[in-house]
Amino acid sequence: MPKPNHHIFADGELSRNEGTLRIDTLEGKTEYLPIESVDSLYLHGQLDFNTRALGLLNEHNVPLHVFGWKDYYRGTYLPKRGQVSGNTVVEQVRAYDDPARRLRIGQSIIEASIHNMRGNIRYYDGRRGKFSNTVTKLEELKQSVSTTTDINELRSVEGNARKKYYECFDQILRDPFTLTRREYNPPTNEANAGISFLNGMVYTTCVSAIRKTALDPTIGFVHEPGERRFTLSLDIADIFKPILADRLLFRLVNRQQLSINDFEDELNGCLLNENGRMIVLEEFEEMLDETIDHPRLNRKVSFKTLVQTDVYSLKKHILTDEPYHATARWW
Amino acid sequence: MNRTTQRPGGGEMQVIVVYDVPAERTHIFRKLLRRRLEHLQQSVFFGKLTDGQVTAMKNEIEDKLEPNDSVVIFESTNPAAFNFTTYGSSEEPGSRFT
Amino acid sequence: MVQYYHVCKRELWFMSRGIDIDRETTNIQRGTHIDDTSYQNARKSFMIDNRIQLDVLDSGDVMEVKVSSTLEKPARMQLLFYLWYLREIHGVERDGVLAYPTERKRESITLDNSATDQVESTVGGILDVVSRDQPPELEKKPYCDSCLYQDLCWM
Repeated sequence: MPKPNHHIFADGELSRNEGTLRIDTLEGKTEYLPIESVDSLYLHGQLDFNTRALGLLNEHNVPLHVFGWKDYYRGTYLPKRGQVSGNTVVEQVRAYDDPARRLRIGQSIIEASIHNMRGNIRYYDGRRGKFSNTVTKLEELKQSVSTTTDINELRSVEGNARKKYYECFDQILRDPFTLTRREYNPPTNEANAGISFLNGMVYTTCVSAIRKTALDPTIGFVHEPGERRFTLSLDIADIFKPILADRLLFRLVNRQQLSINDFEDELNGCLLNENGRMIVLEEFEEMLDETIDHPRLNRKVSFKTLVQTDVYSLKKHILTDEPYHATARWW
Repeated sequence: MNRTTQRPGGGEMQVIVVYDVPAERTHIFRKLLRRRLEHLQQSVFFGKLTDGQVTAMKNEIEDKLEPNDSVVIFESTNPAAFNFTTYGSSEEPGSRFT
Repeated sequence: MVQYYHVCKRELWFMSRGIDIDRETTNIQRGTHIDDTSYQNARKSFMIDNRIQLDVLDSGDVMEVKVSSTLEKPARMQLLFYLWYLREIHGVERDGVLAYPTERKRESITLDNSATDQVESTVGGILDVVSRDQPPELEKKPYCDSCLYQDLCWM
């Protein structure tokens, strides 16, 4: 089991103390975080910290994901790598720069992504509506991935799949939740707000996993480098969003663990409120620890490990040309 | 040869460490334990560690130990969580949220 | 390299390319601590040609310390390689001791003719493996489940 993440909601100060991380909250509480037993640190509150605190995160390879006002994702502080592998980055750039190799990796990612969307729709087919047409359509789109000849064509297949996929959300989600259509920046209603928040968590999970390899997070294959975020994380996140974000949102809404009151309207947008964010995060962290049997590894692995092994597989593919097994739901 | 005795994902255990050492030496053990475990009470620490972390911790404790120090480590590889009950102002151990 | 060759050629290939996985939480700790604390008084460490580090006992024997006696052959081959290297490159003939401090076991090792053949075929084999463009094929071994590379190798 990988180490757990830690989330700080309190406002206050982070500092380095006796070789570990000290949290002094504005409410007057002091806590010590066991720095060697934390995977990634998430800041949701208003926190002051200095370079000594960052140095500690550096020494222990702990990425810091910072969320700002209303928990909008602000960015990540990635510890500098102890051992840089120039060779890995060179091969990654070569793979990106070779249209055939890039397309092959992109196809694996999108195939897995569509496969995982289809898995969700098939699960809810008959439970929350009749979706057999969409299941078939997604299967066709998945099949057509291998016939795409360039990245733009691949991206349009992915876009079509995502559109079909999102069209089912209104039926899957228990009333009064409706998606209508996927809108972000800012999200326009509760369902969009939930998806955006969870997608952010999937994205940061991927950033942390990529950090454990020597791969460069800024060089993606489906997404163009130059988009503002880490494009490799966006690529890997596309594989896992149906598994880790959408499926969880469906569950939380349909079991009424999350209600419309856990959101608040903002200037032309909608966001989870603090209570809602806590509910979602607790469930998300718990889900990362859930385990499934892994046929290739012949043992039980957690969802968090699954993200990690996906990135290892991509890394190995880039360096050895052995097949990349993008994670396609088998369970 | 860098090998674990357990699978890469496994080899995890729950650990409780308590110590009783002269007052002027508490900071030594506090420091080495706080980096790895949750500081529950005065000289009581709790958490989940990997085989490697436990070994490193024991090595470090041995290196720091003096004749009158007393340190006890409880460990359990049973994957089922400890049951615990908290009273008074205790916080729930193992929380991922602050 | 010698040990990896006899444990898993695929692992050797990954190693030779610096292809690594996250090693934060490993048992490297254990090995080094035993190395540091066992037989401290009776041995001296030498770095030879900036390449190999040898532990030499007061008796003049070369010692290799191991955590446990599982995977005994790789450790023996490693030690034989040291003895061979000393003899072939530096003209120094020595015997070896394989020690397992946690099991209180020791074993004497001599570089005889058949051992020399084994070392020489190992050196050739290593060169062959690391010069390949692709890693040796996946092959299930009894210790795959305890190998740190498993999550990279099998994925």
